[in-house]
Amino acid sequence: MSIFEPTLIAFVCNWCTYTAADLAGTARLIYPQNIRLVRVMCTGMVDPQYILKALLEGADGILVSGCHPGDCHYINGNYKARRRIKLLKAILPQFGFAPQRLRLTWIGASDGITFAETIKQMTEQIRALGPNEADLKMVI
Amino acid sequence: MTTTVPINVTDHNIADALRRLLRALFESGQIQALLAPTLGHDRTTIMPALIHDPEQIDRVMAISPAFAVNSAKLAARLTRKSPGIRLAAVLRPCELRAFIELAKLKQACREDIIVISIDCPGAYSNRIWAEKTAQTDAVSLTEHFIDQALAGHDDPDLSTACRICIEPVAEQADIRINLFAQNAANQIPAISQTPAGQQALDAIPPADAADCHLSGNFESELIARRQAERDRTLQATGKAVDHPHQLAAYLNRCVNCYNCRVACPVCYCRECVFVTDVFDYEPAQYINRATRRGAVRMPTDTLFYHLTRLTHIGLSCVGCGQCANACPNDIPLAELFIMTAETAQNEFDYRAGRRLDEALPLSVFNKDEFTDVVGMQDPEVNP
Repeated sequence: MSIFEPTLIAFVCNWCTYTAADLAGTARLIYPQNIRLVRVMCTGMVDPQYILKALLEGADGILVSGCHPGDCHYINGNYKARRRIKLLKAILPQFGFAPQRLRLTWIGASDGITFAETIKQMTEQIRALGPNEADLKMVI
Repeated sequence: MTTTVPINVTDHNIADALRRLLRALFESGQIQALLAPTLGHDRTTIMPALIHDPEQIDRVMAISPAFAVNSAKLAARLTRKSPGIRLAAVLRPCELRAFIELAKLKQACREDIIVISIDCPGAYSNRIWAEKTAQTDAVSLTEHFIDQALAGHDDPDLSTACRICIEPVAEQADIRINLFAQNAANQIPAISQTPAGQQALDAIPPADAADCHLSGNFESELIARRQAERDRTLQATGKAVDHPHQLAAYLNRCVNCYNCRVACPVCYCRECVFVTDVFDYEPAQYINRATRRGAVRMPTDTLFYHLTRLTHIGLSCVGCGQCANACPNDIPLAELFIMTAETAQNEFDYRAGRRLDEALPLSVFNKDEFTDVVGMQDPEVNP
């Protein structure tokens, strides 16, 4: 039996988590290749639509990651993102999406190690959880 | 201080009694224009009209079980900038709640309009209204409907949204017409609830003084019956959509006409993303999607569209049910949206349209809130 390789989509902010991902790369840290990074200017611009689209197109997990509270380049975008994630985490389970598929983390620009660890942890969590409920066999 | 003006009803003609109040408001100069449901020349349809000539009040049907559109958007059009005239509107409680949401979104101005709201016994879908008015004329159908409602008989033909509505009274209106008062079949109290409403009611000549019996048990009993129906309905809906495959099946009759979005009073975007170039796919994109999945449903993005709307307006949904009313394929959208709205609004301790000074949940934040959604742990899953 082959091991399930989940597909993860990460919306990472330009100023913190994307920079942390860069740092993880230059530091040659190893983390799973299951993640696809989408660089956004701020987590505050991640419309719920982006997350829904990723889920419906078969992503098994979605990570939204930005600056620590108080560190947002745009002062408060991450606080707004947190409210949107709160909303999605309330709505999506009603329709059978496991809440663990959606994660919000704060990873600062110097946290390359945390970035690599987070990706590892999320990959393992989603691997254990299994494929997205809205699988590709679904005709939508 | 509130002002209560009793409106005498003769021969069960509540519509006419309300016309007298509206005329008095015009004659006293308190209002110069009125947005109100109005009987069409076909004597069958009731649509909102903006009335400037008091003679046209003859056609106003302030209360009826016709609910063709949610007037919140129309009232918003009239108050987007100052109308420069003393403007009033007869709005159902759910219409007023939607209007308040639009005011919070800066698409309407609550101060520019005097809202008169009648305790709401509910309404039929457009389809049922058309069927019934093919048999009976709109005026006698309405009289019969109100008689039955005030006698405490729940009409099984009401739209789903109305059958499960637990907010049939508008506490936020300037003037509340207390149809649920004890003796409403003979005398309806018009009650001011704001300074603007009080000023308007104080200016009209007092009717024959009489005791007004304000809401007794009628209101609480009605809400209790509706709550029970709501619990049953939403539980069934929750079961029907508890998996993405199930939700897709629930919505599979959708033809992407987007009528629900047009009819929705709180779908606030000036231009919807679903009609922009973003969704104007190249043929190759369809082929790619079909190739990847084996098959792709056409028209595409139906589930995506509805989920997007649920998340975008779930926090502002007032449960008016116009989405279901507008659906050409009878998809039970009202209960889906009401269920999701309740979940979403509970998370933020918010009620759409409850108060003008209650900020939209996504327009504000606190620094130390909702830390439970941050991080890699789910308390309920990974102890």
